[in-house]
Amino acid sequence: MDSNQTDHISSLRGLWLITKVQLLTSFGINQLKYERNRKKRGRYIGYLLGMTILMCTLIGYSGAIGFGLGYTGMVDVIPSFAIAITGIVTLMFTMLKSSVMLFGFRDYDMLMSLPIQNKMVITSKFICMYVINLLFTFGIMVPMGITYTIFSPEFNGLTILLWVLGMLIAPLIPMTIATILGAIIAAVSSRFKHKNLLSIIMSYVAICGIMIYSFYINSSGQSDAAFLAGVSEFGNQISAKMNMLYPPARLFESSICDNQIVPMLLLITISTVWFLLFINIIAIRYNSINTRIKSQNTKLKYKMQELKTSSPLIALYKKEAVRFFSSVGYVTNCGIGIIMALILSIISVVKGPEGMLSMFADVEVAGLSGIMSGVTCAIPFFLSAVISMTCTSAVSLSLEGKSLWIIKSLPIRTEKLLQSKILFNLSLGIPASFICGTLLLISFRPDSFFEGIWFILTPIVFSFFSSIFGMLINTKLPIYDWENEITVIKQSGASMFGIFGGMLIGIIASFIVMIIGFAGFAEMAAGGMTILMAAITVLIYKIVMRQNI
Amino acid sequence: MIKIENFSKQYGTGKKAVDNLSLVIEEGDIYGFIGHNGAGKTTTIKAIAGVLDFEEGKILIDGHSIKEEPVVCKQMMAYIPDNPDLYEHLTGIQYLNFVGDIFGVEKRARAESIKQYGDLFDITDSFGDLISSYSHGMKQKLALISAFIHKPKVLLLDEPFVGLDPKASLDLKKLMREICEEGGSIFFSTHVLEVAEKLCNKIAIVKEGRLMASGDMETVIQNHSLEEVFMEVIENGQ
Repeated sequence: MDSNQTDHISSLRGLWLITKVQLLTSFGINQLKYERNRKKRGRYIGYLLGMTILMCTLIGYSGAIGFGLGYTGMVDVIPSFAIAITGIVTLMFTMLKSSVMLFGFRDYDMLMSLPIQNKMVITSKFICMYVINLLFTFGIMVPMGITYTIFSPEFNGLTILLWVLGMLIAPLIPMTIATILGAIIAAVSSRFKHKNLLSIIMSYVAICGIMIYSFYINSSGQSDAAFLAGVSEFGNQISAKMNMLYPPARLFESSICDNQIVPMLLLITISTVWFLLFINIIAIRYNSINTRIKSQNTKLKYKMQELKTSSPLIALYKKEAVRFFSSVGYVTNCGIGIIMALILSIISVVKGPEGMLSMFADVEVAGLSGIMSGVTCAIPFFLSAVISMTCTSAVSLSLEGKSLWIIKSLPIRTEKLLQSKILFNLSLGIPASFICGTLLLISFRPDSFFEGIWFILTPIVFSFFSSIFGMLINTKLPIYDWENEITVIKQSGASMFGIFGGMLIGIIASFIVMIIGFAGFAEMAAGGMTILMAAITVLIYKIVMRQNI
Repeated sequence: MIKIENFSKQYGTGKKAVDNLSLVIEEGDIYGFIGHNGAGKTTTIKAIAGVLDFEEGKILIDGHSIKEEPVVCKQMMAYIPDNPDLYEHLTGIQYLNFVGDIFGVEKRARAESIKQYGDLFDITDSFGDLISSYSHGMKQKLALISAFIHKPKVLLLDEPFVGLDPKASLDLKKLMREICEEGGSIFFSTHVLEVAEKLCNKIAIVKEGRLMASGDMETVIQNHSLEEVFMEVIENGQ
C-alpha cells in the first residue's frame, strides 16, 4: 500500500470518527443512553416527543397533499411536488443552520487541531446536516410516495427503488446551495467590523428572497383558467411550476412517471458532482473564513466613561437583548416569525387581501367574496400564529448554558429572571403586532370597529401567550450542557414546542374562528377566542412564576 | 459567618459526593479547603453559594439559610467558580455594570471600584472588548473584579489562582487579606498547598466527601508542613 492510499484510508477513518461524535452530540444519543439523571433524560425525551409531533404534522400534511393530488387525477404531479417541497424546506432549514453548524462552531479549534483534512471536517459537518434534513425529506417524501403508489396505475418495484434513491439524493443540491449562500454571507460579513449585524441582515435578505421567490412562482400563471380548461391541463401547470421552482424536480418526475433509470442516474450524478465540487471549493477558504469569524475586533484602549445604572430587571433585560442580537443563529431562527409577519403584511397592503391569499393556494379569489367576513376575522389569528414563531423565551434559559452559575449565584429571584426573558420576547412581539396588525387593518378594511380591534389586540395577546408559554416550556425542558448554541435554538424539545406550539394554536384558532365566522358570528368568535387565550395566558403566567431553575 | 451543619450531597443514586460535612467559618477567616480531585470541594462551595440544590443538612450565611432566604444570603456573597464561563457576548464593562446593577451598587462607588480593581489587575484597557476575546486569565480577573465591586462579606472562591499571572496572584492574596482584616470571610479551595499554608488561618481537608481534618492551621499541621499533613490524611486517612 503506498502512502497516498494510507492517507486516504486514515482520512476516511477520521471522517467516520468525527462524524460519529457530531451525530452523538447533535441528536443527544449519548445523553439518552448514558444519562442517569432522570430530569435530564426527561428533557431529551421531550425533545424526541417534539420532533415526533413535528414529523407527524409533516407526514399528515404531505400525505394530505399527495392524496388530494391523486384523488383529483393529478397523480403525475406528485413526484415533482414532493421533491420541490423537499427542496424548499431543505433550502430554508440549511440556510438558517449553516451559519452556525458549518462556520464559527464551538468545537472548531478542537477539530482543526486534529490531523484531518479540512474537507473531512466540512464533510462531517455536512453529513450531520444531511441526516437532519433526511428526516424532513422522509417526512415529506414517504407519505407522498405512498399516495403515489396508491393512485399510479404504472407503479412497480422499480418505481419504489427510484423513489428511495430520489429521497436519499433530494437534500444534497438544496443543502449545498444554502451552504454556499451561508458561506458567502459568512465570508462577506467577516470582513466588516459589525460582522454579526451584517450577517443577520444578509441572512434575512436571502431567506426573504427564497420565500418571495417561491410565493411568486406559486402565484404566477393562470391557475383558475387552467383549472376550468381541465384537470389534466391544471396538473401540467402545477408540474411546470414545480419544475420552475426547483429544476431537478423535472428529472425526478420523468424518472418516476416514465419508470426510467437514466434521469435518476443523471440526477444522482449531478448531485454528487455538485456536492464534491462544493466541498473542494469551500475547503480552499475554510480556514480563513473561520479565522475571521472567530477573531474579535479589540479596541485600542478603553477609557472609563460615565456608567448608566439600571434596575435589576432592566439589567437582565439588557443582557437578553445583547445576547439575542449578538448571535446570527439566534436572530435568524427565533426572529423569523416577526420578519415573516412583516413581509406578509406588506404584501397584503401592496397586492391587496385577495392577492395575498392567492399566494397560499391556487384558489379562485373572486369566489372568496361571499365568505370574506369569516376570513377577515380569522386573519388576526393567522397573523398571531406567524408572530408566535418568534419565541425567544423557549430557548433563552437554556442559552445561559455554562454561564448559568452567574444567574444562580446572583441575588435575584427566579421570577425576576423569567420576567426579563418574557419581557424581551414581548419587546419583539408587541411592536410587530402593532405594525403588522395596522398594515393588515389597512389592507383588509374590516366592516366594523369591533372587528378591526382584534387585528391589534389578538396578536398582542398571542405575543404574551407565546412568550409565557415558551418560558414555561424552557423551565421544564432546559438544556445547559450544549456545545453548539444551535442545539438549543433549533434542535431542542423546548424550541420545537415553543416555536411550533404557539403557531399551531394560532392556526387552530384561526380555523375555529373562520368556521364560526361562516355561520355569521365572526366578531363574537374572534373576541371570544382572544379573551380565552388571554385567560389561558394569565393561568400559565401564574404557573411560570412558581417555577424554579 | 458561614455555618455548615451535617451537609450531604448525593448525585443520582451514586455514592455521596459530600457526606455529613460540618464547618464554621467566622468573620476574619481565610479558610482553605483542600482535597484530591473529586473529593467534594466544588460541590460544597456551590452549595454554599446557592448554585447547587441539596436535601440534607443546613447552610447558614450570617444566620440566614441559603435554602430559605437565598436572595438575602447571595446579597452578602460573591462566588467565583473554577472555570468562570462569563457572558461572552458582553464587553467587560457591560458585564461589570450588569453585576453592579443586580447588586444595586451606587453609581459613583461602582465606577471607582471598577477603575481601582481594573487598574490593579491591569485589565482596564480591555474593558471595551467582548469577553469572548479575553484569555482565561483575563476572564478570571474580570470575575474577581465583579466579585469585589459589591463589597461582599463572604467570598467563595473555587481554585482562584488558576490561570492568574504571578502579579495578579500576589494582588489577589493582598486583597483577600484586606477583606478579612475588614471583617469579611473567605472560603476557598486550592491545590496549591504552599499558598494555602501561607495565606489561610484555618484549613479543612476532605477525602471522598468526608471531612478528615479542620481547624486552625497551627493546630492541624503542628510541626509539619501542610503538604506532609495532607499526604498523611489522604494516604492513611488520619
